[in-house]
Amino acid sequence: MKIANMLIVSLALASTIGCSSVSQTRTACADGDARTVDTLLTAAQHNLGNSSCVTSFDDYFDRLIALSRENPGADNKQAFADLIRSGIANGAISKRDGMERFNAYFEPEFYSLKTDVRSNCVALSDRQHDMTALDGELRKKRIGLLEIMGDTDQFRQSQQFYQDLTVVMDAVRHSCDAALARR
Amino acid sequence: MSNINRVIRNFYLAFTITAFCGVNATHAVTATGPSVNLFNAATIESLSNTSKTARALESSLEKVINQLETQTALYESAECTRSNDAGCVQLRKGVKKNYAELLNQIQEQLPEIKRNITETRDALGEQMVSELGRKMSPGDLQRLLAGRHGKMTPSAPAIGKAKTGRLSGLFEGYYNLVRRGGNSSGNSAVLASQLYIDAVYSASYLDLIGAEIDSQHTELLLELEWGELTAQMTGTVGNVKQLLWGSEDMRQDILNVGLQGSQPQEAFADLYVD
Repeated sequence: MKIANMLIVSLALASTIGCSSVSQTRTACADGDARTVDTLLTAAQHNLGNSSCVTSFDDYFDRLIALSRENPGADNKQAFADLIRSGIANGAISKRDGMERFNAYFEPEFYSLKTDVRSNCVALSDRQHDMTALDGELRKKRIGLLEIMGDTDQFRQSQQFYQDLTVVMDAVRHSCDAALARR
Repeated sequence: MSNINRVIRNFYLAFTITAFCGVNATHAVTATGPSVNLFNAATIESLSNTSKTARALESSLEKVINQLETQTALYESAECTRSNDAGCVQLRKGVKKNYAELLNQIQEQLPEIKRNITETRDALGEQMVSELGRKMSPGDLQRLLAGRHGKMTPSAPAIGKAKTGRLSGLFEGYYNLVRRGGNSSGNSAVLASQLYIDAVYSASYLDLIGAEIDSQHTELLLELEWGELTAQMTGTVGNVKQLLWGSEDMRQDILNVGLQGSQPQEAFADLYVD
């Protein structure tokens, strides 16, 4: 019985210490209630230098999105580039992840298509998958280009790509399937 | 009668769908991207044939339509809708006869139009598989649409309005666009894709239309012999006229690719992917 009680007490203690540790980390990695893009970026870059804060990168990214949406402008793009570079430099995210984020949000063209090196007859065989990827990326571009940067032209360009790609990809997919069926 | 109306509507839709972008796009293909040859001699020839077939259909139906319009106008001005005197009965029979002739001619010429559209679809399909399907990756495709090869270069093709809405004009629009646009770019990839998809759908529509006309032919003749002239019949004639001479409302602008110039990207070169 004594052993059981000791075990329970030990577990409770460990749990308390663990929570305390998480809480301390959270405090250390907090952005200091930043109200502007610049203050958030400064805090995030500083914190990412601390290895225990690298797991907070997503939080900083999401906070930066929220703050940027409140104050749209072309300059916000630079802040995201700086945050992503800082994340890459400190090992919070991989270079590929960083490029994917940046391109998905701030580039009219679609990153999800750029990384597939297979021929179209093979790569475009799953329409549902392609459309899910394009739809998801277009939503990010809406946030990045339109809501964060306030760049209507670039977002329209992105929509144009989306439309054109959909038409061309459907036609290529159909023609490849038809050619396969004729064999 | 409503079935026939639907048939004619479908027939019209098939052609309108097939040809809409050809009508609305003035030639604007620029060779800024990687070279692809989507419109070969076979495609161009089948497009030309489709245009000729459409023109033949126009010519053959024009006379019947004009007669129908004249007869219908006379029928209405004589207030025959509420009369059964001998003149009105004769006039009604004449209208119905011409109406049946109209449908017969459409039925007769469907197979050749279908054959031409199918040839266009297959010829273009082969080129698409060869040029876009097997040689290119999704990334290449996107670069092609962006009108660049290796580095960012904006392409800004000008898109204009149609000059004609005639059925033959629709196919001629495609034909001329393709013939003059031998140097392919992202725009021609979109054009080829639209033409291909339209041809696929049009061929399916034409199959349905042919089957419907065949199955209803006897019933239709009986109805034409004994039935009244209806507003639906007039509407059908109107639809056939639209089929032949087009409708602005059904047209859409061809998609315009990558019109905006790209912003300088040097500052983010480390984060961009070509």
